[in-house]
Amino acid sequence: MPDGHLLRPPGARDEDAFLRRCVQCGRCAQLCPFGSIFLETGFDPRTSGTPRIDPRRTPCWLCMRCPPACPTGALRPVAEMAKADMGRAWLDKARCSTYEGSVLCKTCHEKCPLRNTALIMDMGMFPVVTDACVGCGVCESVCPRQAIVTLPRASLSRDADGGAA
Amino acid sequence: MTRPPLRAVRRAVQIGVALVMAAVPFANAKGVNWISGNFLALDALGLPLGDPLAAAQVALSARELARPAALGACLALGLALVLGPVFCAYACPYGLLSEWTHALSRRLGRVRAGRFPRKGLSARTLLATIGLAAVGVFGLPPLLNFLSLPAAYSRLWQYAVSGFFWLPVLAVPALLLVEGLCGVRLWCRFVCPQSVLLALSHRLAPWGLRTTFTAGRCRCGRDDRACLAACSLALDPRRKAPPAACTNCGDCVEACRERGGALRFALGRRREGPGESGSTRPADGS
Repeated sequence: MPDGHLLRPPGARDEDAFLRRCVQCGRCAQLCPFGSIFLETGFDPRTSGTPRIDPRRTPCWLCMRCPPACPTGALRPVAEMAKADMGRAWLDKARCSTYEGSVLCKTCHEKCPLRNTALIMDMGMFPVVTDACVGCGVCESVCPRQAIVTLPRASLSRDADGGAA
Repeated sequence: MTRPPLRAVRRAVQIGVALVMAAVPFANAKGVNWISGNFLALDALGLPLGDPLAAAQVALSARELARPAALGACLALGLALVLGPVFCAYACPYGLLSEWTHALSRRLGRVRAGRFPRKGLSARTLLATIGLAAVGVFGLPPLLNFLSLPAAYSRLWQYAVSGFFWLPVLAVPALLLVEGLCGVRLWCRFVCPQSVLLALSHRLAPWGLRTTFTAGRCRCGRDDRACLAACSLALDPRRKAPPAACTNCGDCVEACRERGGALRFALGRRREGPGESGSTRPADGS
């Protein structure tokens, strides 16, 4: 994951505030019907046991069941997909089949839970990630060329001027 | 109909809790969600239960605490207020493993009294206080949760569902090996910070459930004390001392039953009945 930041579940507070509140109970992971959330392993007592998502493993489908399960408010109780605010997808146009001109691929657009708002098709062909993207990682998981990377919100705030596009 | 020994009931509860907590992540993965979480924060049938130390760390670090966590911590502390830190004796999976290790150690003749200082609760309180202060002053994540061995047990199964193995859990068998070799329940007596708030909560309630000692009924000699031998935490139920470290497991009461029944469970300070002589005093709690 870029900068070592982790993609957190929907509704997660800023990384510092999230880590201060998360008691590592794992309820969000246990209640995720898709198995998208898993607990960070390792020996670091700050992060070990905290929830994360790896889109290449299983993306978040924005069912929004995890935020209300959090007993400490580390995940804000948001209910709307559009407010998940996990991060943002970044599209590498050099790797995208459509931009490359080899194949007209619309997989990311078809699978995006926030289709036509978070991910739009420029001229009906070229996928463009907008500011409405919440970073669920679905596009990253379905992209056949692995041209999309989901940047956690924590890495976006550090590098606010670039990256996602 | 004879009453089942308390120890058998306690073992059944301990094993039952360990099995349920192991099954929870697998049940959740199958869509059974009436219970979820681990020993740090649990939700069963909508009733929140949580580790008070975990909640205290969040409250100190984030300067706020969401209602479910606060309620869960209050319920756990309320239970401890009345019944004492019974979580340690009846629910903690590490406590169960530690007790079994201690029993094996005893059979192998490795348990000797007076090997370690009795002031275990002071050491645990110091560790919990330092941890809470560090988390509160520096705004750190709840680092003491990493020392929660019941949570480590839960996590082992939570990770297993995701296909991971959590390496830090290997510290548990290593710790049990050390405890077995020493013949002392080191973690529960000297380290476990999670039990501190439960023990202190019980101390606040003089009317709570306690093991009380009636000297007039005691048939044991000075050096022949079944109650002391029965206590795996090396507490002396006959000594007059703060009872905070006693988990109300009842092992001393069971051992004393055939020797006059000088030790009994009672709410608050038990008064002597007619025909009983000697003093009554709460059990020792070093």
